[in-house]
Amino acid sequence: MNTNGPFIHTENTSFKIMKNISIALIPIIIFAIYKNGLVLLFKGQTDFLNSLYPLFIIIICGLSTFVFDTLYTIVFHKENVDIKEYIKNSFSFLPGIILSLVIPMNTPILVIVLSCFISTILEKILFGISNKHIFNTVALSFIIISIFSLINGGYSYLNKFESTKYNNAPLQSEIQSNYDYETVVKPYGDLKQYFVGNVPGGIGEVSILFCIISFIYLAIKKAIKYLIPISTLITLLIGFSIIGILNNFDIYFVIFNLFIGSIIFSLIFISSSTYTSPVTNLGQVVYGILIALFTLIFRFILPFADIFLSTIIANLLVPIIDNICVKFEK
Amino acid sequence: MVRGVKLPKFKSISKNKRIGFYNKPNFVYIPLISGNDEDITITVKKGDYVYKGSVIGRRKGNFKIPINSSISGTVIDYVQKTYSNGKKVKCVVIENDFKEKEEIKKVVNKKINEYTKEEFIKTIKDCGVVGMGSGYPTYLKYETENKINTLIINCTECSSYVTSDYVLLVERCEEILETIDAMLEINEIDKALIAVRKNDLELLNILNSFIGTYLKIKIVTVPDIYPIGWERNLVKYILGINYNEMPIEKGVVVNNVSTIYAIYESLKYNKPLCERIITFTGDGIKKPQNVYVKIGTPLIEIVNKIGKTTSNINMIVGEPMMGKYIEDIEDVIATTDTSCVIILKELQQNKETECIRCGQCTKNCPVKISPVLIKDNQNNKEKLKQLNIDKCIHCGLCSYICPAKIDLRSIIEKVGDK
Repeated sequence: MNTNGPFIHTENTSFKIMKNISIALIPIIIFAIYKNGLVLLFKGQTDFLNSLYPLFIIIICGLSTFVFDTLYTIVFHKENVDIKEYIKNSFSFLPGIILSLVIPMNTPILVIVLSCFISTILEKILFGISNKHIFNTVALSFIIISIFSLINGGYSYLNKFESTKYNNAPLQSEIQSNYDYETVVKPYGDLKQYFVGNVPGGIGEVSILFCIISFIYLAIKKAIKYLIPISTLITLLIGFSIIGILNNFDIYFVIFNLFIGSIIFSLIFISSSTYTSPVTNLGQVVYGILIALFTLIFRFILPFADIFLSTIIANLLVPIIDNICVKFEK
Repeated sequence: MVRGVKLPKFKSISKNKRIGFYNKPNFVYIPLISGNDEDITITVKKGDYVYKGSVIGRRKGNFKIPINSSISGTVIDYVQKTYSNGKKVKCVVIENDFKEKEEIKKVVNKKINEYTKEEFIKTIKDCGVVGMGSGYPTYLKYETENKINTLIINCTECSSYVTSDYVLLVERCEEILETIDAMLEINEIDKALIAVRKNDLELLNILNSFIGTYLKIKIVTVPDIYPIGWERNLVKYILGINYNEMPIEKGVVVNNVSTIYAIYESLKYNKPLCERIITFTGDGIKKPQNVYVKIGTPLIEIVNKIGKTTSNINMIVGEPMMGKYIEDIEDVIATTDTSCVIILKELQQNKETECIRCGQCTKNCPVKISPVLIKDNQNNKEKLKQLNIDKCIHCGLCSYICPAKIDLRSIIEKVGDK
């Protein structure tokens, strides 16, 4: 028995933090089902069963990461872990659910399951070797899916309704020569549609409004390293502004690049993941800035996977960032 | 900007009762320790008669601070007893004759501000006044060639249960203010700042109602965070200054309320430090309250006198963040640095889970070290040095705040001891 204080502890627990992340995802999940399923049902473009397809993908993704994580634990750590207790406290469905909200609507189920399998097992093996969570499994899964997508000519982000209006999701389209209102906003309605999320994109990532609500909830509940998304966004804002000014682009260039794609959603739910980001305050700021800088580069090379590649690279730098930044925590 | 966390408070159960007294122990066990120094010259032998306040031991080395008897009676033995830090310490056993005899008849000095600085230092030194939290000899803070600009009185009691300083201020406010004023005059200190938590409105009201005539004494409010009462945090927050070793480097002295009252008793009555107020609290005790206790009294006697709510109790000596769980509750004694005794029916048991690297321990650490990185590098001595492990003040905030319930404080202590 421990005879040293403290004999009181905060009521906050790891379980509560994970529970709060799950709660923060609920409005985004509902929006995803609404935008990609129910709207189509209301418009008479699909039947009831097909309108539940986004929910089906979300469940498949969540189940995949949960099952692979649990199976790995049963096979390799059966002696050390009370499996019933492990399952009861496990939130290993979370990476799968987060992944489901960023992938293209038309990703084949087999590819989803395979990517979840590879990333979960690889992460577990590396954790077993180094005793550290090296990289974010969601980001890795997405990159695996992106590789399959590239091989197969690109999985479409468009749902049935969107496919009647657009050829491609914005970031899959040709890089624009000029970013004015007519070319990057008007095709999708207006700025309000950008903000609400009525634009093509991953299954649930597109609503800036719901992402901000989730971020505020997580910040209040102290379930997010809020310095990371804030520092990344500020750096991206500055970066895109500089690029815009140098190329005589409109302000819509900045709005387009910040709001389109997975940036806002990923910053909240993937890049800020507690396991794979720095523990020091300054480290979190530096990590956020690095993600932004990598994103600024990848946006013009592999725009649909920019934030995920940036996150993986920044994940690998976390030990170095913490080691350096801890010296400045004075 | 000082770091800290607001703790849950359980003060109301003990703060509104008058100070009780427990002054008739059959035996007292005077610990032969001063601060952390157990190198003590014993000045009595078995069979000697001692008066209340008699010197029974004296610290060796530079700080020749006396250790006094808290009762009159006969020295009957030397035994090992459990000290507030949980360790066994050699004690002088004195059998009480219940006569409260004093060697020199009590002198009442009507005006305590008429002491010269030298007399002031000599008096508090001879009376064995030490910091009632740290055990550091108080006279050393004033025996300095540096000009003292500011005296800070620490009334923050930022931990969860302790109310001993609060009740002392409630019941002895005039005496304490009189002492602070005298200390300003004697030591030519410019001002005194009484630090009170900003949400401690009762204490602020009490102080405000007495402070009017003391022009050099001001009240300053501090945030209700733990460990704002840590000397370095307090000086930083109130004056915005940092120091290397001691605040006197910057012309600042910090004393807590209990120490001020001990100074008052030494100046007014020439009374050695042999008693103190201790908060007895928790759900395992019938009437939580503050009790004026003789140093060396077995704590269990007072607990039994107050009454327990259950036969199986858990005892924590000290406040809940840095205190010590005492297994042998019959053996532990009251000491000058015991401000609180918490009696609980059950101890909070938390199951440790995997670290999620949330960084809360690092973000909230008052000395700005990273407990989680220290945990990661437990076997790398060079790295631990770089991580400033020696800066840890063992406040327990990292263990408190950890959502995975990892006992980081114990890990740091264990690694630091290697």
